[in-house]
Formats: sequence, C-alpha cells, structure tokens
Amino acid sequence: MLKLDNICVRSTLKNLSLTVNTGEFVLIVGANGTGKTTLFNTISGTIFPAKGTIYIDETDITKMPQHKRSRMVSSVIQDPTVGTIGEMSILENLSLAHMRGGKKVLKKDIEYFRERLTILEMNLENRLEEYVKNLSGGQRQALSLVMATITDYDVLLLDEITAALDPKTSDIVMKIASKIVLQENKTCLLITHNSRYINSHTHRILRMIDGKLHES
Amino acid sequence: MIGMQEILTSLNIGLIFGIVAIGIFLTFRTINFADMTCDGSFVLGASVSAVLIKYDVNPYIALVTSFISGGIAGFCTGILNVKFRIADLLSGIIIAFMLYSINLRIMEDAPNITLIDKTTIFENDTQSFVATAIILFLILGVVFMLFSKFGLKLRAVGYNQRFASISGININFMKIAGLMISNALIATGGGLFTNYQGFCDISGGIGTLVCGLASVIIGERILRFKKEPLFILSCVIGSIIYRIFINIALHGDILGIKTQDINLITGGLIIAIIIMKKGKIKC
Repeated sequence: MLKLDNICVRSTLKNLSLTVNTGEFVLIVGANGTGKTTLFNTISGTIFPAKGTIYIDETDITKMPQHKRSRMVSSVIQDPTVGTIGEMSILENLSLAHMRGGKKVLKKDIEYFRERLTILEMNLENRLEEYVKNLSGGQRQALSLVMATITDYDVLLLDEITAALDPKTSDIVMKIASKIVLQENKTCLLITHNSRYINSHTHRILRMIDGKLHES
Repeated sequence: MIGMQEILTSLNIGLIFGIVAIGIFLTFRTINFADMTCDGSFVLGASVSAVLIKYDVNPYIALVTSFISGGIAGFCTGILNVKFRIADLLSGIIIAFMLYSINLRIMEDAPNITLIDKTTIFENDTQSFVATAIILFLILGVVFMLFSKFGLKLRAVGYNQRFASISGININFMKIAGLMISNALIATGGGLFTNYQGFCDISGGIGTLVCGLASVIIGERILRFKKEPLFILSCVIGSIIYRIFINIALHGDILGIKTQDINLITGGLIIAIIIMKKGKIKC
C-alpha cells in the first residue's frame, strides 16, 4: 500500500493526499505542468517534499534517499535512452537492475533474465550480449519495463512510458506493460496523456488539476 | 636514431605512467568526472615516497603510503564535489592547488629531494622486475575491479546518473570511491617515478593530466576492445607508445627539438588525435 499524506512540493503539489492499495492499477491523467511528474519524482525520491509524509505499507519513506528507496519503488521513465544504458549490453543492464534488490548476479540468474525477456516476444533473450544502443526505442522501453520489474518491489511507477514512441510501438509497449502489471499484481501508477489506454484493467482514474488529484 | 636503451627507458617510464593513465581513465571516462587533482596527487605520491625513503624506510612501505595519501586527496576532491556541490573541475583544481603547499611541507620545505645512496625499488635488475610485477598487479587489479559488480555500478554512474539513481546505486559513494581509486593509482605512479629517477621535484606534477590523457586517447585509438574494462590495457599501451614517441622526437637531432618543446608537441599530438577521432564514425 502506498500512502501520501498532505504532500507539498514547492508550488506544484498542494496538500496532496493519496492512498493506493496493493494490487491496484491507478491511471493519472492531466494537462502538462499540473504536477504529475513531480508527484512521481516525490514518490521515487528524486525530490523531497517540503511538507507531508509518504508511507509504503507502514514504513515512513519520506526522508529515505533514492538509492535505498529504489528497492521498494520501481520506475520506468519517459525517455528510454535515459532509462537504459546504451553503452552496456542487455545482460549488464539487467544485472544492474537485478542488483537493486541487493542481490548478487549469479550464473543461474542469467536463465532467469532470459525467462523474463521472453514475455516481450522480441527475441531479446537470445541477444544478451547485444549493446542496448543497437535496439530500437520500443525495444529499449520494453527492456526498461522488464528491468523495473526484475526484482521485488512494492510500487511501480510508469511515467508516460510511450511518450517517445510512435503510435504502433506505443500500443505494443502498453500491451506488455499491462501484461506485466497483471502478472505481478502489485501497486502500479501510470501517467498517460492517451485515453486509449484506459481499459478494463484500470481500477481507478485520477485527474490531476493544478497540483491536486480528483477522482473521475 | 633510437637505441635499445631508449626503448627500454620508454618501456619503464611508459609502464609507470601507464598507472597514471589508468587513474585518469577511471575519472575522465569511467565515472565521467573531469578530475584535475592528478597534478597535485602525482607529486603527493612522489614526495611521500621520497621523504620516507630519505629516512631509510622500506621503499615498498613508502609506496603503499603514497597509494593511501593519493586516496585521501581523491576523497577530499570527492567531498568538495558531492557534499558541498562544487563543480567537478573546480574541486579538483582547488585540491591540487592546496596540495602544492602540503607537498612542500611533506618535502620539509625543500623544492626537491635527491635520493643518492638510498635503497629504492629500482636498485638492481631483480628489483626492477619486482616493480614491473607491482605495476602489472595494479593493472590486473583495476581490470578485475571493472569487471566486478562494483565496476558495473561505477560505469553506470559515468554513463547515466539518472538511471544509476533509480537503479539503487549510491551515486555519491561511487563518485568518491572512483576518485579515491584514481588518485591512489596516480600517487602510486608518482611514488614509482621517484624511485625510478631517484629524485623528486615539487613541480614534477605539471602536465600529469595532459600526459595521462594523451596516453588514454592514443590507447583508445590504437586498441579498441569490445569489453570496456579491457580499455585499461589500451591506456597502458598508449602510455608506452606516447613515451616512445616523445623519445623519438627528442632524439631526432634532425628535427632540432629540445626538451622544453615537449609540452608543445604533446599538446599538438592530443589535438591532432582528437580531430582525427571526430573525422571517423564512432564504432
């Protein structure tokens, strides 16, 4: 369960409160500049709120630095070139993501990586040594989805993950995203501009207006 | 034009400065931090070794002390950058600037120390074999480190800080660790160079950065490994080639080049290689 209590960030978020239960898939929509990404950055620990507290289950994570928080909060960001490292191989990228859980990468984990990559149906599982910069934008974003969910986590944040992709690739990536989210059954928040992705899997839709969330 | 003796000298100095080049590679390339501390930390390592050897301390222990002192210098630069948010270039320059005074203090207010009749690492052939072994050990150590999980994290910080942060990597810690290892290696290079020359000078560090960078660039140009950690080997080979190049330039009497022209030549060499690099498509 993710709980935000009276969060204030600069002048963007104003006394924002939100509770998302475990297994819930919440969509956040809203115009640019209303504070959607600020909300995500606050949850993931890129920025710290001036006021208010953030809880995951019963743990207060308001002041926890991002690198520690990343064990609980997993995020996929808009730009796949930032969300993955192009100069490293798929295997190295996955290893880095896997280490987030504080675990070592062993020989047997490589089999696990392969298994996770098969969800994508992009044949990446047989190209582990390939440099990520040689992949397409859609493949990179799909890879970062796998990376975000490769270790245990409590909350998954998907920030306009299709913003940098063309419509066709967007659909594929969104399909993979909902597949992974359904499989994992964890708390998930998704920011989107596109109402096409509102479907039966979505539990709740929130509208962000001027730093406040409204049920719609 | 160039005899066996010159090549051997180039090889020796090239190996010693190879360690310096590795240190520079670790900051400039691996963690993407333009660290200017090296001009100071090189002399720091040199002066620490020189003073200890002067007081008849075992040169190997002196070398280890040089290594540690360099690590401390790197730590200071890291703290300035990470904790006090001073820009990377400036924090390095400040520490190098301050090290000048510290180095003079270490050298007991004398601008240079000569190690005549003292036991150094390069006393005889067997010992210079030991010195080579130390250098190879350090090189392999760094390669091994870069292949490890720690090295993977270090490289991730250099490539993409945003990614590193959301992947649970403590960027501040990694930056400081990288700077410490880098400067420790550079100081060790300084210590070895003092042993080799039997001499330490307060201004000996000027241009360490440029020489090291020249070696890194030459190495990258000549030897491109598929695995990035192996680039460390390119640095060492680049360093040796650089020394041979300088030696040829100095011994080519026809060219009429004097010792004081080295900086001009090195600078021109770096510019030329960088321009050549831009002409080609990066692979």
